[in-house]
Amino acid sequence: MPRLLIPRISCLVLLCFGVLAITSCHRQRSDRGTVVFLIESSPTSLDPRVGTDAQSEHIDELLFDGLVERDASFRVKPGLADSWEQPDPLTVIFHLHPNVHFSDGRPLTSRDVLWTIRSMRDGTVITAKGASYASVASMAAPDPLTVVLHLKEPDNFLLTNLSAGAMGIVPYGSGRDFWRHPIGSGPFRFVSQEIDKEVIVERNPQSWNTEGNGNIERVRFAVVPEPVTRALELRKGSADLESNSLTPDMLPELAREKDLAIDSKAGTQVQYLAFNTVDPVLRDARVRQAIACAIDIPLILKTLQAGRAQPTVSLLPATHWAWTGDVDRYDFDPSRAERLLEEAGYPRKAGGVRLHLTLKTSTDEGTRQLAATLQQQLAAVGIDLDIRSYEAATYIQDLNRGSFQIYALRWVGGNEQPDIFAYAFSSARIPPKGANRGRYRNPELDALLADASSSTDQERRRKDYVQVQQILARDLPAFNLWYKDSIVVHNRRISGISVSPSGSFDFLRSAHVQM
Amino acid sequence: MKSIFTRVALTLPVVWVVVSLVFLLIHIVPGDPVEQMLGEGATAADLSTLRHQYELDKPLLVQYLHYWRGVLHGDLGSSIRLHDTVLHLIATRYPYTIELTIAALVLGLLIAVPAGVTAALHRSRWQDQTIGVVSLSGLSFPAFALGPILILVFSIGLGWLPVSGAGSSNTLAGFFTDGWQYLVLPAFAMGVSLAAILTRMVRTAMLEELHRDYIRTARAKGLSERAVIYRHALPNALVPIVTVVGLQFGTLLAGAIVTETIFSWPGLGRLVVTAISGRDYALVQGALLTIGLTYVLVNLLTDLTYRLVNPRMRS
Repeated sequence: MPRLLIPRISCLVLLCFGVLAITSCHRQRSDRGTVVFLIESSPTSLDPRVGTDAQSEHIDELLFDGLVERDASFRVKPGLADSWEQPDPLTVIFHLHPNVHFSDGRPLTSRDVLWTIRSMRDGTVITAKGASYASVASMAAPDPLTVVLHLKEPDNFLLTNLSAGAMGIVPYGSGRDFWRHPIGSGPFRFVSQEIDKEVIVERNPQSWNTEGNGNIERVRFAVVPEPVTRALELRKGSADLESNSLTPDMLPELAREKDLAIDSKAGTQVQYLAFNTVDPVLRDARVRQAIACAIDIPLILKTLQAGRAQPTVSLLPATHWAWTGDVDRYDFDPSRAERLLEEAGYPRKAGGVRLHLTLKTSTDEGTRQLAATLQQQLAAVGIDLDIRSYEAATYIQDLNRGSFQIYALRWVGGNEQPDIFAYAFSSARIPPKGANRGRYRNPELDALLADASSSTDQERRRKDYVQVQQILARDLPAFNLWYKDSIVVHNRRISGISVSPSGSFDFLRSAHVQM
Repeated sequence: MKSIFTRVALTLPVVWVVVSLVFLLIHIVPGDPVEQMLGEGATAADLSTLRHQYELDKPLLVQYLHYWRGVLHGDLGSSIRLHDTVLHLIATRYPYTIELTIAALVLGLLIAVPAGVTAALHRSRWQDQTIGVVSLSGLSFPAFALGPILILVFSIGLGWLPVSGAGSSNTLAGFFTDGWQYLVLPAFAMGVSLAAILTRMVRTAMLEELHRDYIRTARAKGLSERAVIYRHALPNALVPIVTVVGLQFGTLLAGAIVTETIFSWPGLGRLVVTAISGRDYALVQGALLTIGLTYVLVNLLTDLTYRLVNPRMRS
């Protein structure tokens, strides 16, 4: 037998590799002072005037301050502006907090506020957010701590659009390359970013806002696109936390890990089904109502969502000031569904099928599972549901063109303020002007939305929105299925996490890390 | 030398065709990059401004000609989604993919050559059969299934290696401190299927060579078995393997997308996937042009290596 030289050398190299791996025994944590936070994707832009994806907005909220903030009922409260007044419906005056500095030491003044808004409107940066300030006719900064906005028309959503998360104040002169090294006045400051790899931020010693007394000094947002890998990172202890990025079926398994804890709160993301109201079959509200009655939501929540979601009757979060539960409800009732279909003129034909419908979904695994479940549940009342899954860009384009019968999607963030009703259901907001993809038209609803939009009387607005919710529940251009719980899975060395219903990372301000 | 230039000249049109097809296809599939970037709330004026800025309001032929003019001047355009130049994005991401692909290739060869030689020398015995079964398993195990298993065993179970990522530093020093640890599992997940293919090829090629007349002559001359195998049989058996390795490099580059996603490896593959879903035209085109040119380069290197290891080609 010859001496096998190459096999021996190769085995030796592989062995050395293995031994090196064993002896190095990968360190559990290289720097225990740094919190490793897993995110699904890189933020597309850390310029708060530009980034509209969830990761950008959540990280920007740590780096920047808004003029105002929102409380648990989604009412505005002071932020950078200690107070504001509205001497008439077309004028808003903000009084800024004194001695606020950006993380590079520059003072934050009214000039920076004006620049932030102006740069979004004059083309300095190109952003969809500029449209949120279309009502602003002119701006003035009479002194470093006063900002005056003159409006073309009353704008009830201006304050919300100026709140933290929606907008952050950037230094005067910030241009298009600002995203490369963003400088804000928030509780954390930017350190570095590498696309598809990580974003590193650290505590901002210049921060004026003393709210929260956490001890997290440095956070590394590690980009881990695969949910299974994120769960394994947490299990190993090489990452500290994630927020709303795991699938519900992973949670029971992770809950059994002694080093991990799961905190959750009722969330604001709404899963819904929307109907094409100009479709020959679905234009009859009874068919839409029948579909709603045929869906066993409690069963879906228990199984597909692992109990981590709550049934909903409105687009607005249940804690919202304009929310109402006094609307038509569609509990699981197959016999009512069958009756409605009979009334609508769809008797059972050969094979028990009453009608054929198509449900379009994205390729998101959770939504596809939901679609398969709906297919089975609707079959029980005689609806043959065909499922078509498309990649995101094609899917959204089809929806905007009205090329669908039913689609499944989630509202993320947009449904936290009541202008979502106009955006999604006003007859003036059919794409590309809005997201009324189902082409729903109701003059009564349009009138209520117009009144709510122009009125400055909060109680009158609330009444308008209550009626809007009642009409939408009756006509059912879309069927709201559930609020997804906001969930944070974290290592037990992190404590004091106050989960945000909207999924924001704001809890990092006050959370504690055990070194 | 002349034939090498001819070969390059013949492959460049392939790159042109590929990039042109990609240009055409990505423009005709549904989905507007500007709407994708600005979102549904964008005003018509914003949409129009951005379209103008990225020249997306021009006729397709004009865009195509502008694109190639930019390419010839070293300008691949800007990413509409990531607000950075395509050249910079590729320059920062592609080294990761190349590093992973080369590591997988080296690992594959380190496993395949000794395994193939051993199997050939012990034909039809238990060693050969065991290697056959193992290589079949390697072929049957796709990276998306193997990846999580490797993590469970080597990262979670044994705690030897990190779960995912690419290490804390991009420098050479960073690679030797902790970077290499991050490379092991993704390289193994990618290299296993290559090793399986190559093991079978090495075995077959070795068996063929061992039955040739010159081997019998070498043995008759009294050469040691080691010399017969390593000086005579193996170099000749490796000649066809060189071509396969060159071709497999391309397959590995394509397969890197899956491995990069599982192991959070910040390579070009992931960048391309997100660029496609965001209809980031310039980035998709730039990335595919880069991959195409890599194919050309690897083919060229394969030809050169083939000439080096094959004496008949040298003459």
